[in-house]
Amino acid sequence: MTEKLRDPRWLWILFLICIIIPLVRPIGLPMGVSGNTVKVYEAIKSVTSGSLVFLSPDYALENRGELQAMLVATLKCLLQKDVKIVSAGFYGTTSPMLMDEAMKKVGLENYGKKYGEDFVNLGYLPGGEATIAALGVDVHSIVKVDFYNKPISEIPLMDHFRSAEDIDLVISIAAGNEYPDKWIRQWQVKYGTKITGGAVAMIYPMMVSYVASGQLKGYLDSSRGAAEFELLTKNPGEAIITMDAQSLGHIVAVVAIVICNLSYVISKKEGRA
Amino acid sequence: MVSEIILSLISSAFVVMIFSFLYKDSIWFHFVTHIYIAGAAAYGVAICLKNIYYQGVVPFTQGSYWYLLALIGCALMFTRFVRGYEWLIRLPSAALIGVGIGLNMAAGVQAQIIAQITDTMKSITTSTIATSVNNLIIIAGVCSVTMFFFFSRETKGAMGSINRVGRCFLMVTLGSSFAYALLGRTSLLIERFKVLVVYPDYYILILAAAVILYDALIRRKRNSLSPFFEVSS
Repeated sequence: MTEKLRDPRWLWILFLICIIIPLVRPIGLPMGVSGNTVKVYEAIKSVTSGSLVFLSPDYALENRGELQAMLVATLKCLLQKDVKIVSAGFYGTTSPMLMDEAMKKVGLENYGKKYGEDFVNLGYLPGGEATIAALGVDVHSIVKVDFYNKPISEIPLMDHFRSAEDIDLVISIAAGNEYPDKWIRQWQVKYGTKITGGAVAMIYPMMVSYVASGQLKGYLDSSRGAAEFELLTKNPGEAIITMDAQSLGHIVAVVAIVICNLSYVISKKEGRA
Repeated sequence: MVSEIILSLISSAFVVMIFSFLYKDSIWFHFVTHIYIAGAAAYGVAICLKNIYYQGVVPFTQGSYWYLLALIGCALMFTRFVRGYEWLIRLPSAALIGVGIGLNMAAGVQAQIIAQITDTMKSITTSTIATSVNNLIIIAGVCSVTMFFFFSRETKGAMGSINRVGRCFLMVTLGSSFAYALLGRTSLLIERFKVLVVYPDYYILILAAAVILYDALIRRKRNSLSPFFEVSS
């Protein structure tokens, strides 16, 4: 019986129950907004009317669950402002597809914006850091068509975007620390471009040092950061409704870690471990 | 509308088939992983071909003949599949590595070394005690962890003490990374379940639970292989 109880699948069942219940019936646990989220909001707020913002979904399909809500929340916040948005993905071939999904979900027409005039999705640009560096020098030599194979010479917005000098803010929503690193190296150091964004939880601790040094203007922390951003911008969305489940899941994990460690210490004392 | 429901049900069924691995390794899990790999590979190839066409072939045909170099470099990447000419892949690889390191090094020193060291030079006599303590912790952490990776002296005496402090800071860092990993993985799980608990997708979840329960009962009763999940060896 004891052996059966040690099966980790029981923990899985408990974990699943604890995340399903608040998804079906939200509890409404209180949530605060961290300083780094406020910094992201302020960085977006500081962008002046008519400016160009580069929104880069530097993640692929496998990170959709963690970052898509963040992309949607950021896009909504940008569309509420009088700014123009250029988007391109460098991380994976599926990233522009996720941008397309976010764009359709939000609906440019709901904000009185038009594709090609206020927003453009340049698709996946291969080459990583070399492409980011080259984009900073001359966009039109690198990009020939957008995600929908429309020549950029026919897209009015692209007349305003020729190099890094035209961009006021870069928002990199990243699945790996290499992309904020690349933006900082190639655009922040060379052109002084302001960079902000968000990332998966795994790399968030690494990004905090960039925020402390001022190289990143705030940073969103996974789904938690996205929920805080939705709360701050008064755009409740996908992230905020998952926070109760997240909190309960974490409680189960913490309790399991404590019980397992206590049981290990007790077993050791009794000479069984 | 109907097509959206069907797509949603297929998506949920695939999620459940992947999760069936938690119960046991199953043909359903293998079926979906193969579909995923095939779909992702096909999509990746299509996007790459599009990029080669628009960023290499089109400019070349429009008179930018130096794009031929890029196209040759691209073609050389495939020589690893041609017996006797495998070494040719080293040419484009060397170019890629050279450009990558050059770009990284040039700005990396400023972005990741100078800026970070500068930010570590903090005052420990600030107007608020909390800030002073924070700054002190940062200075102590950076110095002790850096010394932890100093291998030219034996870790005895003062060096040993600094080493132990550095190890503590590293432990805290690792703990925070593990906690963030848990946060990330939980987010992924929740995102999938958010889809599974709404109508009509929860029928898939109920069906999966019923199949697993039936399978477990059959296996227990007959003491035999699983009728629904067994993977043929």
